[in-house]
Amino acid sequence: MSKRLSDELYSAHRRLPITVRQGYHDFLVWSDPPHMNYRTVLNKERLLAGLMLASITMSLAGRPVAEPMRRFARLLTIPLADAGVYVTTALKSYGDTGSGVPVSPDRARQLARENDDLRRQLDLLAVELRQSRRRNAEIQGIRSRFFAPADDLPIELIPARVVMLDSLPYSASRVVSAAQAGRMAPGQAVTTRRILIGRSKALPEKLAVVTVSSLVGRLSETDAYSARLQLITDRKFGLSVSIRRVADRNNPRKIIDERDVSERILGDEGFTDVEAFAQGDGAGGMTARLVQAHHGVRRGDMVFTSAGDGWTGGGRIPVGTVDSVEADGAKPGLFVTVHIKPRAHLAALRDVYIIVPPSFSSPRAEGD
Amino acid sequence: MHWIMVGIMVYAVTLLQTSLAGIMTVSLPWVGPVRPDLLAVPAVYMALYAHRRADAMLAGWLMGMAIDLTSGAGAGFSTAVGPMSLGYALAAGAIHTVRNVLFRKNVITQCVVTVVFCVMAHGLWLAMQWIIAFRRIADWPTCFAMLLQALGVALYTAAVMPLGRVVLDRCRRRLISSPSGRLGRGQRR
Repeated sequence: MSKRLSDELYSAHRRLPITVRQGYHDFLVWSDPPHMNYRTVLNKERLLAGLMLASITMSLAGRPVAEPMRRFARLLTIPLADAGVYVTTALKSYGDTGSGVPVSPDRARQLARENDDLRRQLDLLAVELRQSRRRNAEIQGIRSRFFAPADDLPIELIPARVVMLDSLPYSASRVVSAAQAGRMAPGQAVTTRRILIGRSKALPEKLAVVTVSSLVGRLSETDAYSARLQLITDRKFGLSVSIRRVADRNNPRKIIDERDVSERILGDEGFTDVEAFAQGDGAGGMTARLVQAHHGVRRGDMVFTSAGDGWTGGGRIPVGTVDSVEADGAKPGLFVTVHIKPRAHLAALRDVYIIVPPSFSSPRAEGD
Repeated sequence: MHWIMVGIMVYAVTLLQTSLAGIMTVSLPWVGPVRPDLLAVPAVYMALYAHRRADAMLAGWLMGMAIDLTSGAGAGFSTAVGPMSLGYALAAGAIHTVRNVLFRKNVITQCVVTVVFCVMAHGLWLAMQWIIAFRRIADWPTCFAMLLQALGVALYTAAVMPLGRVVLDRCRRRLISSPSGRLGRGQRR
């Protein structure tokens, strides 16, 4: 079609039907002015080019640009994502049947006899203990009614709730060796969560986060009303731990007593906990390397946070249990690597508490 | 393209991605956690059925930006915003370019296209994040593991694609408009 004919057809900016012949066929089409289509195509393409350029710019700008944008996006997504996470954690909790070492009938009878002995010992101490506990509970009840920290643990607990996961699963993942593959639990390896806090001011970072029974992680990237929870299984999470060796009369273990460098059988008295540094493995557990082999750490030993650690308020918080012990690759006779299984069910994490020691204060409240 | 409906759909799928997708997460040995990229499903659908390439790329950009804004990828090495939106837009444009040689309604074709789309988008995201952030803290075995993880995500997403296509087919008229100049039956100007 000639340009003059098209101009005549669209002099009144109306669309008119025209017949276009192609080969042996005639097509009746609504033709558009070429210049009008041209402007429309250019507008979208220009917009697209601008957005792509903006993406490149934001990518290079990094975190200073990303954080304000993500903060705004969280305001839009957290209120409704909470319901989905509730469903997710409920299903994960329902599917967790727990795992433990199977017990033989002989072992079960032995345990029953031991339980009876221990129960009789407890009965002898029960009267005096009951009176002192009742008195202590009355005092704690009065103090907690006025929201004051308890005497035994001078900290404040702030409740929080897991409301959102990351949209991508690449958080702190790592290659898992075949030997570790059997210990992975499905859905557990994404090692950060977004939690909702009922505070309008951002809390300080690196505060410990616990459930009712154990440590689960610490805060990072805090914000008003929400924060990112770095789980203990994150590769960048590390802390000092104490490994409490469990004495078992039916399966005694020999250890080297460091006080006089003599070999002894581990009992309930007189032995200190083993200090170590544990780090998340990014796959669902923690690893403590370079633990001295003569301590005799083995599966089933309990792991706590180190005493006197101000980050956790000074208390010894359970972290998990020893899942396996293997010889260190470089010095197999001297050191062992301890693999720790978290006590908390991280895949079904929902309600948590943030430990705020008395020494912490919000940096933003101080005008930071 | 009905952009308001597209925006509502992106918001809804983003909520699913950040909450209920945790149920679908599985951990594979040697790979790590894998779950479907739910936003890739409508992005591939738009790339296959949008009338203009610019529309498909704009929709892809929007969905990629939603992922960028809801993903921090771990404490200690916060990721930048922008790479996924770039990856989604480029992958959508590539799919739209070659769609005329494909049987778009074939389920296998859609699954294969989904795998290609995810590999392109996630591969570009990983490459840009390595350059921007990861290279200071990640070693080559970790990078290789994340590539395997991206492949796992692509395959898992392809498995979810047929179900997503059924849902999106019912919503196509609300998302993708008719081409300009072509009136529907019974419509008048």
